[in-house]
Formats: sequence, structure tokens, C-alpha cells
Amino acid sequence: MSSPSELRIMFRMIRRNPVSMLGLIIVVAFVVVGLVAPYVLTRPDEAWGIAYNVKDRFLPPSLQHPFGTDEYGRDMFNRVLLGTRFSLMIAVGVVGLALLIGIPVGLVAGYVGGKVGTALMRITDMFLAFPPLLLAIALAATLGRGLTNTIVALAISWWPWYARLIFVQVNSIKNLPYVDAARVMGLRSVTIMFKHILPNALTPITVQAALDMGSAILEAAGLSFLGVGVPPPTPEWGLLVSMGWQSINRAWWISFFPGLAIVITVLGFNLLADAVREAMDPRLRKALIMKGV
Amino acid sequence: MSGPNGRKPILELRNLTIKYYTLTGIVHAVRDVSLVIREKESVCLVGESGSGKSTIGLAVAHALPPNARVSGQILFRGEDVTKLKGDALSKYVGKKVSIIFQDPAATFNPLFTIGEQMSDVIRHHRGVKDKEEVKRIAIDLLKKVGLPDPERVLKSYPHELSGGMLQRASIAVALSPNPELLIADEPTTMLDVTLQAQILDLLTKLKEELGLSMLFITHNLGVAAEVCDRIAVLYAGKLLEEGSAEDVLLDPLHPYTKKLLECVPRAHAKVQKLRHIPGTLPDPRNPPPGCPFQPRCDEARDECSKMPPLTEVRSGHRVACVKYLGEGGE
Amino acid sequence: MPVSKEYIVKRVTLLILVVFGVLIITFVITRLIPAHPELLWAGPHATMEQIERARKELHLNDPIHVQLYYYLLNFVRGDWGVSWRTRSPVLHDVLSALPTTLELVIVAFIIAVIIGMPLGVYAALRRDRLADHIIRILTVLGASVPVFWLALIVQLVFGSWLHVLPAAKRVDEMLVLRTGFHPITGFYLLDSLIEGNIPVFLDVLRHMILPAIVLSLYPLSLCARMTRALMVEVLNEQYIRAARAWGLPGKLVTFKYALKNAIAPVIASLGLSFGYTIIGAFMVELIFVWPGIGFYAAMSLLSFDYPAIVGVIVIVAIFYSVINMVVDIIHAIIDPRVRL
Repeated sequence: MSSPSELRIMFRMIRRNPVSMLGLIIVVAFVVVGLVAPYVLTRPDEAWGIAYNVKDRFLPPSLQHPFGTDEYGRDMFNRVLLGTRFSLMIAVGVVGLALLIGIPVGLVAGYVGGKVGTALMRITDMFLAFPPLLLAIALAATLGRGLTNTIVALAISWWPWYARLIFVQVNSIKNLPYVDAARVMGLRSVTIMFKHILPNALTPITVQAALDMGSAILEAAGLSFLGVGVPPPTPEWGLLVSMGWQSINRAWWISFFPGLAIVITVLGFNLLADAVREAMDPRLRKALIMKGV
Repeated sequence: MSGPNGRKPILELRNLTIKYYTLTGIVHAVRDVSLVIREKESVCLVGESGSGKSTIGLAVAHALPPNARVSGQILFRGEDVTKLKGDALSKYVGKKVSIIFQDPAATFNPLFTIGEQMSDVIRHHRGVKDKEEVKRIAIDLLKKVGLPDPERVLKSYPHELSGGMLQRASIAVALSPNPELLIADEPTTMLDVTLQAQILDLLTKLKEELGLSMLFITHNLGVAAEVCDRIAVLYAGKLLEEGSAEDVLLDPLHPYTKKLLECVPRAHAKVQKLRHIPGTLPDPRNPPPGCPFQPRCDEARDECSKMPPLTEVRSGHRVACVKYLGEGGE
Repeated sequence: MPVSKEYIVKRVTLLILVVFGVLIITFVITRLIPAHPELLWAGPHATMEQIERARKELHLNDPIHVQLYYYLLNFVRGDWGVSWRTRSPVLHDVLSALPTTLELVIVAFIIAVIIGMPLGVYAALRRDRLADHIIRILTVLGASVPVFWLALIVQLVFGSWLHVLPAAKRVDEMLVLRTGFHPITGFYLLDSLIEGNIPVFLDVLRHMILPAIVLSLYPLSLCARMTRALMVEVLNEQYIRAARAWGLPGKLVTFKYALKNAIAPVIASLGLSFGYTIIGAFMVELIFVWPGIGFYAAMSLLSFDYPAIVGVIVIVAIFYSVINMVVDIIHAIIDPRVRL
């Protein structure tokens, strides 16, 4: 599925399309900013929420404070910037943890099959029958506020999707001739599972997961807004929006800019996801018209 | 321009060239093909997969996918249909020329009954508004194609009918506007042998009864032999030989045609190895100049690297091969 | 009959299982919380005796499995507990808030389909041209915007700054009193029409516009995107090309045939989006002070009113399963090949 030439065609398609290039740029920018943010802050104390600047409360956007200041006088630009780091952590954490749980479950269920497989899939289906965010909200409410708790709550509501995806993949690969060949040659089941089936099943899943990071950010922001996600003074974007809510009439910028950051970041991921999805669709690839001949 | 029976030509392809634009390159599906079909005549386009035969059929029916580019002319009773637009186009498509496809199950919309789909076509082309009248016409047509229980077929969804029945039904739909030319794109390829014979018989009978011209597309010479008056042999987008069925089958001129005939297994002969032609088709994105069969041809010569024109070697029998250059003239 | 008995049995069983799963999870959650429900139950002026009696009543002294038994039993009997905040039965609270939310969600979905589907079809027909690209970017944008943020901004701009539309609540209470409006079904739009009460009808409509539009953004984008993708796929199918080759006019082929083929999966995905839209409704209700389940849930979350929270979770889970079943049935009606 992902032989080198297929990946190359995919990249060529992404490069050709200016919209998906935009997505790629945004995602790369997001990751870079997320990684370096803590080290490039101009007002780190305010960003982390430690310092207060009472005389500078509710300042509108200006050159000194591009995103204005909040009710404690903290510079919003710094806060939003640092928020990138937290969004990155959440995105990677949620998706990573969900994969960590989901992949083994799906892999075992798919490969072993039989009663074990069915039982595992039934459990997975029960999770999937839940309305998506409801479980996360309930869990987050129980576990209490906190960055780790938020990540865990979301990951627990997410893993069934990946388990199911892997299950379907493994099932279709399992019956391919070369797997039978491996078995006949006497390789142990575990070896077959890890060296042969897993790499092929993994690729579409990891691509999907990487692009799901946008949704993770969106959902975490929602949880923080509702008050069951990340606690103050952590400058998580969703939390920043909710904290700006009380003063929105006199200082719209406090809620506006963090929300805008969410929009742009998630947009980047979604644009890229769209492009990748089109690139992976074999029928679309065949039917594409080459322009200008 | 009248043929041996003095029949007028109904369809003429002049220097027809069709290209598909794809992400991996331009596919030269049909290269400079010229052909004439006369009234009440059935012509078979014979060739391997990739020879361009289906493309020609689709082009005449105006059913090509959007990434196809047509150059040259397709003249239906003298009018170039590649240039038709609007009202003139709608008088042509599906009305004067009709088409039946290879996969009958894929031809019908799975969410609508056969009756609904047939009614739409009948209403559109025959201008009939009355529901009862439309139904009567539909049942008539289904009976004509040999379907025993037309009322049931009308009420059925495509997945409820067998392949053979669906193919008959699609013939009924194709014939409902009383077309002058019917294009059959490998109509029996997906059916088993007994059904094949039945459908071919049906088509032959309908052709006689209705005075249809047919453009029959197939890769199977045996089928061509049964149904067609004339045979045109295509290879890699080029027309290699064309003549009456007897001429082409009993006295093949082009080396490719000869090889094709050798490959047809004979029922009465002793058990023999299945024959095939060694080699593969040239890459349609990068066709070589000259005769496309040259790499696989036993009788290839140096002159073959320049594509010879079609020469009329005998009356009504044309071939494009350097062996016959100078024997006739066209 | 596109639906078999086995299917109904299977779905209902699944529904029951899900509800039980939800109940068990919520039971575990409420037992993990270090709250003292008996104190809240008995009230702020309770004596030690009354508190002890409360503990007995709430079965808090019994072993855990007995507690679970009573917990489940109560739910089945319709006793969903009493909200610590409103002091009225949770089931009653939830059922009276339900139509309010449903009204908003239904209107939002109607907007989503009425605008989303034509956009999708238009984009598919103009594939790879400018209109298509614009529509695609807009739909991706629509799926990237956090509902709560959009609600705040819209409320600020249209409510506070421009004063064009009301920024909060569902209806003007004074108007209700003056016109003597008595809701029957709980669906105010319907009720006001039944009573012939046009002023209230218009007023509810005016209050509904902003929250409904904000809520509709996500399903709209999804609908447009799915419709476009499916139309593109369907328009390439052999049966569509055959219909064209038979000479049928383009509009007929597109709107009667292709659209029907594309609709079924679109409806399925809309059903899926329902889950997200419900959570979106929570946030929209909170911000626009729309007195539905979402608002009730948010208030309950803030005051740690656990019976109410549990009640909301259960009702949403039930609803979600029912919607999924309805979507499946609609799919079976449209596509004769699907046998449930």
C-alpha cells in the first residue's frame, strides 16, 4: 500500500495543490512553534501564569501586546504562544496513547480471531456505541482537571477507533498468500504478527492518526472550556477562551486570539488530511486530469 | 462510396485519434483509425484488451470519460458528431446511436427498478407521457428480447435479476428509442457460454428484424465470426486489417490476424498446446512509430518501422502491412 | 419491509447494553467522587439522626453490589434520583429540557442539509474548478472552528455590538405572559403555530437564529464535504455513464439518479455527526442561555450535581443509539440492496 512510488505520487499531489501545501506549512509551523515556544517567550512568567501585571489589565492589541492583555495584565501573545506547546503535547499524547492501547487490541483480535477476537471486538463496539465526546467528558469529570487526566480521558474514548481500524486491516492482510507462506515456513505466530502483518497494517493507521491530531486539539479545547480539562493557569487555548468569556464584552481579544489559534492549527491538519485522503484513493488517482497539455 | 450491396454508409470514422490524459501520462488509445459502417451492416472491432476497440465504441456513443480528447471525425450520416452541441447533440445521443455495455449489472442503477429506468428512457426519447402507454411499450420491448415475465422484470431491482436477464433488459433499453446504430461493447464477455450463444442469437435476430447497423466490439474471433458481416482488426490503437468476415477469417492477410486465428482452440483437432503470441503490447503512453506489431511479428522487416497505410488488396479487403504495399491502391 | 425482526431485536439489545454500560460507568464514577450525597440529601439543617436515615435510604451502608443493584433498579423504574440543584426529579428535569434542545438541534440539522447538500452537489459538478476549491476550503474551515469560540464571537458581534438579534435565552418572557402562550409539546415553534400565536413564533425564531446557525456549522460542513465526495464518486460510476449514454438529460441524471445514490452514505455520516453536534449543543446552549439539556448539563457540571449529570449522560446515550438506528433504517429504505 505504501511502496516508495506511492508515497512519491502522494507527495507530488500534495505539492501540486496549493491548498494542501498550506496545510503542510501550518502543521510544520505548529510543530516547530510547539517545540520551541517555552524558550522564545518574551514574557515567560506571564505566559506560565505566574506573574501578574495589574496596571496593564485589559489592554487592547497593540505593538507591545499584539494580542492584548487579560484580566491579570498578562500578555496574551505570550500565553497563546506557550499554549502551542500544550496543544502539541495534548495532540501527541492523546493520539499516541490511543494507538498504544488500540493497536495491540486490534492486532490480537484480528490475528488470533475466534472467540478472543470476537470478544475483544464486542468490547470495542460497545465503546464505539457511545456518543463520542460524552465518555471523554464523563471520564475527565471523574479524574479531575489536569493535563495528564485530559490526555488519558480523551485517549480512552479514542482507542476503539484505532483498534477497529487495525482489526479490519489485519483481517484483510491475514488472508493474503504471503502470510500463509510464512506460516508454512514455520515462523512463530508472534513473529508473523510483528514482522509481517504489522508494518503493512500500520501505515494507513499512522497516517490517519497523525492527521487526527487536529481533532484531538479541538476536543481537548472543548473539555477545557467546559471546565473538565486543563486547569488554570495553564495557557491551553480552550481554557484561555473560557477565561476570556467573563470579560468578553470589555476585552474581546482575550477569547478571540486563542480561538483563532485553534482554528488555524486544526485547519492545517484538516487540509493536509483531505489531501492525503485523496492521494490514497486509487480511483481518484487514476481519474485525475493532467492540466495544460 | 457505396459498398458492395449499394448500401449507404451510416457511420464513418475519419482519422480518428483519441487520447486519455492521466496523471501518469497521455494514453494514446486510438491512433488514426478510418472505418466505414453501412446501413444494416454489422461490423466487428476485434482486438486484445488495450487495442482501443472499446474506446472507439464509447466515442461513437458519446460516452467517453471526461479526460478523453478526440481528434479526427466521426460522421454519422455525414454529420460530425464530435462537434455536436445542445439540441442537435441530444437528438443524437441515445437516440440515433445506442450502446450496450459489458457488465449488465453495472449498467443499471442499483437503487431504481428496471421499470423506472426504462420508463425514463422511453418517455424521453419517444415523447410518450401516458404511464400505461409507457408500460406497454416497455413490456413489448422486454418480450422482444426474450424475457419471459416482463411485468416482474419491470418491478425488479437490478440485484434481483441474473446477468443474462440484465443483459437482455439492457438491450431492450438500448432499442427503445429505435436507434439506427447499435454499439455492443463486449456484451457477452461476462456471461457464461450458453448465455453467450443466446444473446448473440438475439442480437442477430434483432439486427435482421429491425434493420439495425451494429458496431460489435469483442476480443473473441469466434464471436465475431457468428455475428458480423465485416471484421476490423485493431492493435495498439491502429487498424491493421479490415474486410468481410469470410475474407478476414478464411484469408487473413496481416501477420497479426493470422496469429490470432492460430490461437483459437479448435474443438475437433487433436489435443494440442494452447497457442499464444509471445511478447506484450507496447506501452500506450509511449507508442513506437511504425507498425505496433513489429516487435512480435515473425515476418517483420526494416520497412516496418514506418507505419504503412491501409491498402485495398482485394475488393473490400484492406490491410496495413508492408508486405502488401504496391499490390493495390486506395 | 426493509427491517427484519432480528434487526430490531439486535438494535434494542445493543441499546439496552449501552445504557447499562453507561449506568455502570456512571455508578463507578459517582462512587469514586469523595462527595457525601447523604448530607446534601438530608439538607443543611439535618440532625445526625436524619443524616443516618438518609444514609440508609440511599443504601450507602450496603455492600457495593447491592448499591449497584438498587442503582440499576431505580433507573429502570424511572427513578433517576433528584437533582441536588433544582430539587426536582432528574427524569422530569431531563424530559422537560429535551424538546428544547431537540428543537434547536433539528433546526440546526435542517439548515445544515438545506445549505450543505446543494453546496456539495454544486462543488461536485464543478469539480476541480474555482468554485469547487472555494467550497472545499470553506467546508474544511467549518470543521476546524471550535463551536464554543464561534458562539462567543457571534453572540458578541451580532448581539452586543450590532444589536441585530437577541443574544440569549429562548423567548421573551414578557411576550409570553402578554400573549398567554402555553406550550403543549415543548417545541415552542410548533406550539406557537398550533395556538396561532404569531408574535411568540417570530420571537422564538429570532432567538433561535444565532445559536442554530452556530450549531449548524459543523454538520453543514460535513454534509457538504460528504455530498461532494460521494457525488464525484457516483458520477463516475458505470450506471451514471450508461444513463447519459442512453441520452437522458443531464439534470435528470444528476438530480434524480446520482443524488439518490449519494444520499444514503451522506445520511449515515450525518447520523455520526449527531454525536458531536449534541456536545456542540451543550456549549451553544450554555453560551446563549438556551434552556435545554446542554444548559442543564453544564449547570450540573458546575455545581457537581451528580444525579443530574448521570441523568443527562443516560438520556444522551439513549438518544444517540436511537438516532443510529433511525439512520440505518433510512438507509435501508433508500437502498433496496440493504437488508437489516
